[in-house]
Amino acid sequence: MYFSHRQIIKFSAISLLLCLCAPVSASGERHEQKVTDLAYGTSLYYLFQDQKLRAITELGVAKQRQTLKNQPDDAELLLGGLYFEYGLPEDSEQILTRLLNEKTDAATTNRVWFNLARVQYEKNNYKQAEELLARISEQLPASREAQKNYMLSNVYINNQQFDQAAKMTSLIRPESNWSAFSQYNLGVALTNTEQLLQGQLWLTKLISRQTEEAELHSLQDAARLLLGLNALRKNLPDESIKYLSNIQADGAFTNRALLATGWAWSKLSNPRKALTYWLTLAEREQHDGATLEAYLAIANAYEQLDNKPLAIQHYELALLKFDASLNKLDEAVESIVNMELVNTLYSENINKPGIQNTIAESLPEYIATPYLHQVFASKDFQQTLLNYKELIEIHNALISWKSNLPTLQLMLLERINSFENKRQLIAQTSDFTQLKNLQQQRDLLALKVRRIKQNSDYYALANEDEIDYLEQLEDLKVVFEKLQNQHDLTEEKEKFRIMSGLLQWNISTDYPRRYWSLQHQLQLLDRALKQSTKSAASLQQASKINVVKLNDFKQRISGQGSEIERMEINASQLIEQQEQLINLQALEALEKRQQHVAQLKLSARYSLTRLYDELSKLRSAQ
Amino acid sequence: MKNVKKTIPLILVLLMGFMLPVYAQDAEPITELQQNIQNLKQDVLKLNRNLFILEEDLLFPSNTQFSVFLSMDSGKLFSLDAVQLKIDDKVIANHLYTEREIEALKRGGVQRLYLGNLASGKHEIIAIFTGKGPQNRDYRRGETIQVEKGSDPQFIELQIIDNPTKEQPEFITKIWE
Repeated sequence: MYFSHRQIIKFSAISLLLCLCAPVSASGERHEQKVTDLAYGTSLYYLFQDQKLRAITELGVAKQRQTLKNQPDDAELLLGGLYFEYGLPEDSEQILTRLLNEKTDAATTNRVWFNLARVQYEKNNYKQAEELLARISEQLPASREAQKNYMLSNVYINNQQFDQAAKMTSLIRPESNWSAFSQYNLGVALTNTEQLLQGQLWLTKLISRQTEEAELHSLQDAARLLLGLNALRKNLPDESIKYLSNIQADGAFTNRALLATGWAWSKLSNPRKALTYWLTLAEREQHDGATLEAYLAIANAYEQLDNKPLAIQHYELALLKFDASLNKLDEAVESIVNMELVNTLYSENINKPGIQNTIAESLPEYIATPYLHQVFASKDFQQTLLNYKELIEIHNALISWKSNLPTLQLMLLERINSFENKRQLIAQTSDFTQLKNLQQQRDLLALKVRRIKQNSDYYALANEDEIDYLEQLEDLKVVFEKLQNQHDLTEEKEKFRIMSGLLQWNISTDYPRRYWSLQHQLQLLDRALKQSTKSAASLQQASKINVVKLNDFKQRISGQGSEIERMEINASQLIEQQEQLINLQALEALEKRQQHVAQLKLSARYSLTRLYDELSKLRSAQ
Repeated sequence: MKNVKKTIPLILVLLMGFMLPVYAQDAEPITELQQNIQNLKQDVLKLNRNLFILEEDLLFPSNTQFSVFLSMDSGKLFSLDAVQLKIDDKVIANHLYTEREIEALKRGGVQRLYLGNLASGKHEIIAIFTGKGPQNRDYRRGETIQVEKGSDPQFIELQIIDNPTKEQPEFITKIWE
């Protein structure tokens, strides 16, 4: 048959790649895990928009900030998947394995085994993939279970254990697309090993499936074409026509189906009917190999019909078409060498999200496009293109950081300036010498208060009015002494005594309240001093922390510019290399096409010469 | 006729041959170019993470940091077109959604709608949702939220949820601790 086992297994690798980090989230489906950490949700938001770099960054930032408190295992699983999808399988493996080493629950462990198996599977380590899948201890959710059986089926196909592969294929729920892929792979593999009937059985199952999905229609067409070609090979043209006639009229396999149908009718010795198909194909004026082969087949059919002049005419037409095709191919080669393919990809498509899945369909009209559909669809080219797209994303991200860096530097400078302006005030406010003076003053005050208590010095607590009265009384005392020999001061002295007594009584009886109030004031002063000391210490600490923080910011920013520069140069070089690779792969495809056309041309030339010879001999004989 | 028949197998072989490249894609060992790409990716991921953290630390210090997120469930009763966000009657964010963004939200993604600074104290947040409601009618709804910003970063999530019983969308606010 036509495909090696490994080739078959590669068939749906691109589809599989999309599903590792969101196994149940086939396109359009809601993610199976409930979001209980915001960063997990924001990462999904970017993942679902095919922005893997940003999705990984969201989780990376959250991990560093330790904000993934509610679903750390889910986040690790997602991160492992994202790394894998971002083309970093080793990092993915490390994350997933680390998750296993910790004490995780059975459901998570099974998800880890599944994802690790996927990593191994994609790396073509089928034995390890099988071992890892065997460790899964319980039934997985439906979609992942289907993927698991799909992988196992392919692993068994690779080992040529077709019975087990068939068992696994049967276990996949029929409505799942994995079932269709598995049926296809198994059908082709069995046919490939000459187990034609069993192979036919699986391919027939596939084509009898009802579906509205374009991808599955295409897969069914591939199966029909294989069944048709097989039947042709087994010399069963009727059966071949049955399969080929059901291939979509506007699909990727239409031209090949028309060509093969023609050959089937030819085998049924009905060259006229064969001609109908080939002429239809030739009228499509497309650039694929089948159409070019049709030109040769048409001439061949006229030869079969013994219409040599028409056959010669069509061989000559075929030669013209082949020459034109070779010219077009030369132009296409030249355009690729002139970087037109890369420029087209870059300007028109490369920044569209999900471009790696739609490139073949969405590539704008360009001279080499008609010849490159097959290479666009190949996994190698898709991978090259994906790398190219990711490198451009990286380059754009670096340019963006490069332009943002001065803003960050300016912001830091602003903060440094603002801090410097406040620094003097902070220094004044948090001056411990000043506080020490205040403390000494407080201590002196406390000493005074203690002395007042020890000496019961009521007068020390007299208020201003009382001091004034006391002073006045003292003054009166002096006056009394001066006038006592000249006047009778008995009445005044009695008044003086009463007033002095009253004042003394007032002061002494209010002393406890005054002393308590004084002590309370002292306590308040203590508290205020303590608070000031604390605030000053805290301010000093904050100031020190701020200095450290600002220095930390400085350090974090410094060197980033050169690092970004280095990475940008690196990215540019890699983009250039990737562009060369794109061109190389495209040129290889064109070269194969040139060889194919050259082969057809040779065949046409040979037939033409032969026909001319025959005509010449015929004329000589006449 | 003899010669003609001889050409048929040749053409069949060609027919089959040009089909090969469709799936003939054997994996090859990792090339130096691939390794270099991987190394660059690792470097860029690290740089991206560090710079995002630096930017956040510098521009949105934790004591004033304020974020608003948006999520939705199936979105069957409300098809979101745009959101406007106001804080204390001042418009701080406007977002017009693309199909991909809506799809990402419907699949369970959470969008960080706004990241900024907010002083401590009480604030009024108003979110105005515009789109198509039940029966595909134009729909505009405003939600007011009172928040008290403390000294820790604050995270608010606006959730758009279908209420099948009322056949109406519901707008719920969740304040994350």
